[in-house]
Amino acid sequence: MEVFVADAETRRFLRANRGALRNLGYGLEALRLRTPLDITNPVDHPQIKQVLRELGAGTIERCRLEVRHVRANGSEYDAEVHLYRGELEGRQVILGLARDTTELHTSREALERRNDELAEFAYRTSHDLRAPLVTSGALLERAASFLEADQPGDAADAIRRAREVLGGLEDFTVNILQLAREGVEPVETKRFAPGELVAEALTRVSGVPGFDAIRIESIDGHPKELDSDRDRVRIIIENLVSNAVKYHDPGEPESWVRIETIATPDDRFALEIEDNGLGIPEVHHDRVFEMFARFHPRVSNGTGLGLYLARQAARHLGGELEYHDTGRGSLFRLTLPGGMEPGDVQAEGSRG
Amino acid sequence: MTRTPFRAILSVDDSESDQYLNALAIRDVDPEIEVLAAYDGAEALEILAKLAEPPDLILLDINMPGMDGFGFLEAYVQAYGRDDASLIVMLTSSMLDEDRARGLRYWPVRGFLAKPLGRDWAEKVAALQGGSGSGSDAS
Repeated sequence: MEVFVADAETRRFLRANRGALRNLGYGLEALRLRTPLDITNPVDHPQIKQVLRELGAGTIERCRLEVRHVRANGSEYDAEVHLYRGELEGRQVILGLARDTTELHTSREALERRNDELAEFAYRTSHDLRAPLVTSGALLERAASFLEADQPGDAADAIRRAREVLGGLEDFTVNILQLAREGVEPVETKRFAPGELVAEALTRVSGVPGFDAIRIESIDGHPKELDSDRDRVRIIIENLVSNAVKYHDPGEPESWVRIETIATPDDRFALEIEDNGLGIPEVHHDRVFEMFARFHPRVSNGTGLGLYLARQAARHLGGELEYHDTGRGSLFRLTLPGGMEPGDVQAEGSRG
Repeated sequence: MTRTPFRAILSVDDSESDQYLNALAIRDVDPEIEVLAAYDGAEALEILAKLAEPPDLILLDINMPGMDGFGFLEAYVQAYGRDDASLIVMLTSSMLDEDRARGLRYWPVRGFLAKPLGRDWAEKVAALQGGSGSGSDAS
């Protein structure tokens, strides 16, 4: 807090506290040669002059201003100033209390940014919830018309499309729920074999068209169990495995997906999922983990939330999820704290 | 069946199902109309560049991955003038006033229609054309 006392008539400063002198970079003697106009940006001068006039004349007793303070070295900062009319040692004075609001403004900007992100999120979410409902409704209407016109093949096709759209909507709502939980649910650590999660994820995607033609190479290089939040790790692995399978390249004579768990030299757990699929166009590499980023609309009605969610979860667990450009397809690498305390290793040894 | 002045229409939408519905709605009105499909703004520009004659109508979605509807419009008004431009009608499920206002700032945009495209699209487009230019979906 800066405190100033200025003569109401000459407007020269009479006193100032240490905070004011430090913030402004003047010594008391130097400040005494100056008036409020010398320590403020000229843009604010008309308003300051008027306020000083009115305080001096006694038409107002107090007021509040937002001004730019100018330091002795010429640099500036935002300040909120409260001015009061008073008397000191028989002289009419103006008392000023000022506060540097730079930090306040920075946090307000951060809040405003966060607010914009939320508004964008609400907009995208309402669009992504509503659009599939509208579309599937129209598809079912078409199916009914096809049935009336005795075109059962076309009707079946329209119904299949409606189911696909509704399936996408279901994925989206699941992702939104996961996202809501991701931020608030505490990390629950328990021991599990990451290989199990890979197997489960593969079972879940086995119905994806073209799955049978994809050669899956699963290498378990981290045979130890992992102490982590099983649910979060499951979400990450499911997203990565499902992407690798869904976005295979139909033009590729032999599609493959390599899933490898690795015990890193620094005793962390790593999982690499590499494929020779469609990959991500180079121009979009910086957007891979962005919320609502989608890269292959024609192939799958993805939610644009999967990788965002997976990275959030990985970071929440003290790990990281990265994308590596291999020139063909994609390579995602997940690393997590190993959680293998020396005691744990022994316990495992005694068990096996 | 109404005859329409449309010979070719470019439908720009990332959703396979919306493309399918657009094509059906166009065929309902006139099966002779050639329907071109692009799945994002960049693909739409590529298709347009290859055509000898511009399509009579471009149906443009807003939300698309890659180049979205507004990105397309930005590039489109740079590349085409009033002589060789197509009529553009934006399709949207958002109906946000901001989106409308933003779209109408681009001169080729004649108005908005709600998704999905209904069987009465040709009349609605004609109404937009006859309108003041600040047209919107009547329904």
